[in-house]
Amino acid sequence: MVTAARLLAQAAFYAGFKGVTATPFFGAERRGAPVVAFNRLNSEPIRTHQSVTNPDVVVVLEERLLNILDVTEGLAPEGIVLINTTRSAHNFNGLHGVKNLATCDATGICREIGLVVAGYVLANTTLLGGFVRATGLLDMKTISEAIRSSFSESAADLNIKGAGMAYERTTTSDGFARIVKSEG
Amino acid sequence: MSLVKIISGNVAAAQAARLSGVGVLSAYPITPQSEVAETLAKFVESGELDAEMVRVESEHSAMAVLIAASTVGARTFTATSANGLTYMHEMLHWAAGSRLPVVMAVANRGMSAPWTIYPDLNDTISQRDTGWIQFYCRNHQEIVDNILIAYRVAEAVHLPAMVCYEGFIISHTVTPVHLPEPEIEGFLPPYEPLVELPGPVPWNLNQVVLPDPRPDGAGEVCPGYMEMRYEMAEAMSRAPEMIARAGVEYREITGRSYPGMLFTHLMDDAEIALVSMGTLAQEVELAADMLRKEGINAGAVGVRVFRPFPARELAGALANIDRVAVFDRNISFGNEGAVATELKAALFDGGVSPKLISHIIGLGGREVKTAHLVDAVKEILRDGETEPGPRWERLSL
Repeated sequence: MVTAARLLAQAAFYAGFKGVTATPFFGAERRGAPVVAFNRLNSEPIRTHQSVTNPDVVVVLEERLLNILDVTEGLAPEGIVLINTTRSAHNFNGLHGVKNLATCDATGICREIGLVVAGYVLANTTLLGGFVRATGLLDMKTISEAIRSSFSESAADLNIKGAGMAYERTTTSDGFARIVKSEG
Repeated sequence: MSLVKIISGNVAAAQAARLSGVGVLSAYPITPQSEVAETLAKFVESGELDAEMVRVESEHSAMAVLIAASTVGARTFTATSANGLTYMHEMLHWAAGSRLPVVMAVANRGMSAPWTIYPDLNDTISQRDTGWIQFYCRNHQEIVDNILIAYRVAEAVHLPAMVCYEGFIISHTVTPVHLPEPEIEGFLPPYEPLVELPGPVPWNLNQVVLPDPRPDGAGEVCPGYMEMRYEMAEAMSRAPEMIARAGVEYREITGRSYPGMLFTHLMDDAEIALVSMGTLAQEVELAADMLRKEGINAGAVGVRVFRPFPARELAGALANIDRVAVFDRNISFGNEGAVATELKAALFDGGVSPKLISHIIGLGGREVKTAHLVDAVKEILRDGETEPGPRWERLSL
């Protein structure tokens, strides 16, 4: 999640956003513990350090967290929730009244193309494709550029492939509105 | 032309050390600083930085290594946080007393107990009287700029300098940072130590071994302990001029402006001033903007350099202000926040006496939102006269 947030900030900068931040929030320092990361994207440089409490977009990398916490807390009225799941978007109708729901089986895509290291499915970069599809904020070219700047050539190829497939396979709820306002 | 990289505050600190052309590095890892040491180790291993990295078993030893290296003419750098910094405390006095321009990045972290890895400024505030120059950063960019400027100043006045930035809030967040490469080349002249080794005649290194005036190895009478303390204080008092001069040259090279010891925002016609240091010095500017929209004539002052303390500059900036709200992310137990207490003394000397409230906020990483600052100011405006002593903000008791 932390890497995905960093790559998203990087891609957004390449796409022309002058203000980008990625803020990881670490809890316990162990693998498997819930991790949260925040992004701010703005046309102007960002001057605040305060945390994000009213997001326009929430990306859920681990579906099981939906049973533990309300991921829609503070979500902007027209906000988007993107979930990494095998289920299509209409299965989540009524999730805390969220209208704009998108889903993408990033984990499945990673297994399919072998984006697995030491038994860990690395769905984070793949889900960036879903983010582009669901929000319309960036494009796959800048996502690919950001991935290329961070990985070796062969690893980058695989991660870009995963993100591209996620872009194609993202589903959205009925009446989904793609355009998001940038956060003030 | 300069290079823009999307990097964390820690990587920004390491990049600045690389751009400074440091010769000897030594650091011991501690959260939230570790990435600084890791990144520097990578630079040395890849050959991007031609420096010697000395591995040590503690922060105390890290500083001891740099004291030795700086004595014989190397430009030196380290980084630490909280408990690591306080473990170094004895050596901080030694570096300053030996008049060595060591530069150190500190990713601020609250002191334990109770245990925390999250930020406040009490770790570096506790080093206030060691004789180190202290810069506080509002954002990532200022880490790079302040480290480069710190070398310039430290090597001119022969005192060490620490560049402080809040852990996690800056150390671990990622944002675009301009690296002045290659145009920074030449900004730092080669470091020349006070004493050239080997000298023509035997010499007492670190003259702090002399308790009283007496002949040194060359037969000349050297000043004693108290005279050396005076010289240190004099050197510190020359730092503001050097900071201003370095800032002018830095602007010519990079286009980024650092006029001096303070940042001021909307102060020309302000009636109430919000004062802070570190990231909150940026947040108080946003708070002043919000208060202006509500018809309150607010301005903001950020303390960029805490040692030497900008007493005259602050008294000047606040000369026509009725009310001052100081937001300290630190607490001097038995008194108020450190910026507030020192500011009060500065105002007394400056003959200025606004109503000043010390607000304690954000200790141990407690979230501070711009709206919290706005609310705190509106509260003191509503309450009028308040009890003396600090106001603790956002407590949950």
